[in-house]
Amino acid sequence: MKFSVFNGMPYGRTREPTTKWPVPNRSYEPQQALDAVARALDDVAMEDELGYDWIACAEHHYSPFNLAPNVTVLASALTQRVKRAKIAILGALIPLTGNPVRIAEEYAMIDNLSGGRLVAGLLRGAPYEYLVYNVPPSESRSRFEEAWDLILRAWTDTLPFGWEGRHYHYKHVSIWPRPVQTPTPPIYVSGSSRESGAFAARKRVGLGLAFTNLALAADAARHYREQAAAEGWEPTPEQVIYQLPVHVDESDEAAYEAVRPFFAHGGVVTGLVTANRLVSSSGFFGSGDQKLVKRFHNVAADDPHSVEEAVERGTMLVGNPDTVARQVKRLRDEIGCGVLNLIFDRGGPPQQKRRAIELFAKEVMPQVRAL
Amino acid sequence: MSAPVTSKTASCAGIPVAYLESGAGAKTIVFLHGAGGASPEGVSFIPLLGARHRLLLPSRPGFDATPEGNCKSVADVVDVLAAFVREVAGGTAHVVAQSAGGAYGCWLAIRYPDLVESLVLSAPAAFAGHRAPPPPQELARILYGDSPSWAAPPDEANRQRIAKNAQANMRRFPDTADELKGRLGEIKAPTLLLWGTGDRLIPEEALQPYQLAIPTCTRILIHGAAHELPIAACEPWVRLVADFVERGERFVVNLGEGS
Repeated sequence: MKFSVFNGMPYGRTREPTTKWPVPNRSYEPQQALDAVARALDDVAMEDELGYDWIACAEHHYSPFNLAPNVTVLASALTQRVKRAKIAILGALIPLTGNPVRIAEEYAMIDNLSGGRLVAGLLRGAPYEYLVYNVPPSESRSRFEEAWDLILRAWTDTLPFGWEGRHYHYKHVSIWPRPVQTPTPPIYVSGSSRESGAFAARKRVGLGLAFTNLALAADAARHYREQAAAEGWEPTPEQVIYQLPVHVDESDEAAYEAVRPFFAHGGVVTGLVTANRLVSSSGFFGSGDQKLVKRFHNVAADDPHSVEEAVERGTMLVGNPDTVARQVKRLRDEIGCGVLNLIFDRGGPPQQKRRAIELFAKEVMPQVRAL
Repeated sequence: MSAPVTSKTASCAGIPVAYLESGAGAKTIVFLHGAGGASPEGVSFIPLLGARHRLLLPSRPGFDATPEGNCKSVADVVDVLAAFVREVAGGTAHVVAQSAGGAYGCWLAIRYPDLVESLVLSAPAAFAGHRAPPPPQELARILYGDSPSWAAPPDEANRQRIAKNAQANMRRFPDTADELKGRLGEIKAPTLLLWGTGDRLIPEEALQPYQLAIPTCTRILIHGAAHELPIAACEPWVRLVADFVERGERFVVNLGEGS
């Protein structure tokens, strides 16, 4: 198996509750943000040295949980601190921008800056992101598919071309640099929905499963493999990524206690729940994904309410190294994922997080590498 | 906005050429049809393009109501088309060539450069090779895609006429593709090359020779569109063609809304 660390460059605790979405920025403190940036860049250098396979980042907006609304800016910084691991952008939210060619250009830059280590996630995003740039959720799918075709062509077509689509219009496209990796960097799409899984299978690319649970992820991965078989190919384990939070400590008790406050605070941003509900019921999902519409109607109700429940439902890895290794094996067996994208931001203060990162690398990874 | 369409005949190089005419703008477009002959009745692109420019759609010798006359080669047909541009179009024209019309458009621009102000090659077929025609039950979808633009869908008589044209004219003359490939660089007219990414008849590689050889060639892809672009992607196709004819090389400049 391969292991990725998600680095959202979180701001840390805010002076006022972050239950609203968008989170008001009146309590923003520049020094705290600078500290968060410095800490994140130090962490990725450490994670690289510890042997993690990928360092991942993603685009999210309007919240202190992820200070990377432009993910390629962060990825660019990562290329200068991460010398060995792949830089996984998981990803830019391609329907949100009016300019997919810019995404093609920036990803190509990252591939060059990293010496050909880019993993290219091209995502639709969570429903609430569609409130950020005023993009109609009902156009998400068609914008995504057109932007996808345009980005892939910008990477691979070696003669200038123009583009006339439903959403995007260009008279000239001929990007410099092109990606280092040929024909393209490894590509992943988010695949919790049936439509996305079928799309990934049709395009023969990898699938990323995030903000979900073990049962739903296993079902989505199965659907993806069935669709791929129908298209005449078989995804490798590495083409299925599962993302979830993790905390490893010296003992199970210590690990559970470290993450318990996260659940005590409710674990979710209520404003985000509302935003997701509004968008998901406005045409974001296709007709085959009514289960997801229902889930997002109140995602808080569907999320685990305790550490124990989170572990049971496979939405979090918690425990001592042996316990977590067993939990990883369960994910591998039931989802078939070959890459875990790990979020280490649930375990309390920074030093505790760093200790968990180290423990996972030194005591969990050796037990599950060969899976 | 759309313009009325009328059927006419004109004598060109001794052949009575049947043609459709629409619009009365300052620029004249001569549209060269594909292997099926004149576009089916009920297409939307003719009155829409006619609303922007004067549009002439001659049926080449051997197609529709235009007799074959003494035409024995592509070159003979091109001579007739040159006469049509001189005598009907008024001396020069912007030539828009669809599919199998593409080779005629290219030859016209090569042999009669003074007659061709600009050239639009819309899914040109010259370098696509010879392949078996699609099964009849799939033909309409392959040609026109999932959302064709019809004022009224073609009737059975139109379908029969198109099939007859295609049967009668496939490989009627010796193929000029190899010779054409060597001479594309002689085309001086500003050239717009259009192709739909959903085209299942013309492989994309068949487009490369034009872009590599024609000095002023701009290639634009219409996302998802099927082969018969004026019908399969009517709105963007009319907009691109009309704008290219109107503004020439400046058509690459975005003038913003309302201009």
